[in-house]
Amino acid sequence: MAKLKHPNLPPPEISQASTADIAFLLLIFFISTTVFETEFGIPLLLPGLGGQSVKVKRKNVLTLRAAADGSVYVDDAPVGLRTIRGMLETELEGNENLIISIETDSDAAYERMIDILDEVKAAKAPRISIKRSRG
Amino acid sequence: MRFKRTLEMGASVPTGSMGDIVFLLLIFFLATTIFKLEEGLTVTLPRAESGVRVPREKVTHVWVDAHEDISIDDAFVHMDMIEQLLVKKMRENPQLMVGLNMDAALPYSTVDRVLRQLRKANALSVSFTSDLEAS
Repeated sequence: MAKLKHPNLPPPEISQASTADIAFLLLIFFISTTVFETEFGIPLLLPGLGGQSVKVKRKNVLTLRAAADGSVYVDDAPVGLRTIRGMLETELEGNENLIISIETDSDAAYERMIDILDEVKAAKAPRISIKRSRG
Repeated sequence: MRFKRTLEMGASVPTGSMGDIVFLLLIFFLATTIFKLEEGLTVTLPRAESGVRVPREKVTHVWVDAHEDISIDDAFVHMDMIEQLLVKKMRENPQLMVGLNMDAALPYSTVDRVLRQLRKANALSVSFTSDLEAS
């Protein structure tokens, strides 16, 4: 039998022309899926321990109190959470030096304190103090 | 006498190395993509409107879950150890901000104890991490 002669073929090779395209696709994938994780928080500056206490006038302090059952009081008068912001805005207009003191009962939920702090921050109160109410 | 230009060269930017450049970029993005830095604890964060974006790099996270387990840097710590740990961190970076990831259902007394530890450690810049609430 006659041996078939192999035709004159070029050596096989894989085309590399699309490498850059594949890399581009991967690059775009990674750029678009990279999430620079951000978090949101309410910033607050705590008072240092052992600092000298400052006397403030009674009329310059507005106390918001969160009771154990979740109800909120402004200077001992019960208020709804949603009305705090409007009230504070009017109060702050009248007195720029107003200090908002948030007193939270030991048994009240942290969430409630954040709710109040959120409203106070939203009302753009410059001076906020947080404390735990005794009892 | 006029010289005849012998060589006519077309201006072109070589694109042969584009694939390599793209690969370099790809490797850069692959290497810098951080999928998750730390696990922390499972907490239900309180919701707040007034939360602001907190730069993640400058923040040390303190996690307190509903069972009052406390975790800092993926390690469980006792309440009284917070001060010691944060003092060490404050020494490395005095501008440190403490991100408090606390469960919304925690009683405020626990929150107050954590805050007291922070004040003892002189870590006064805090951020109450919250989920952004659509207003």
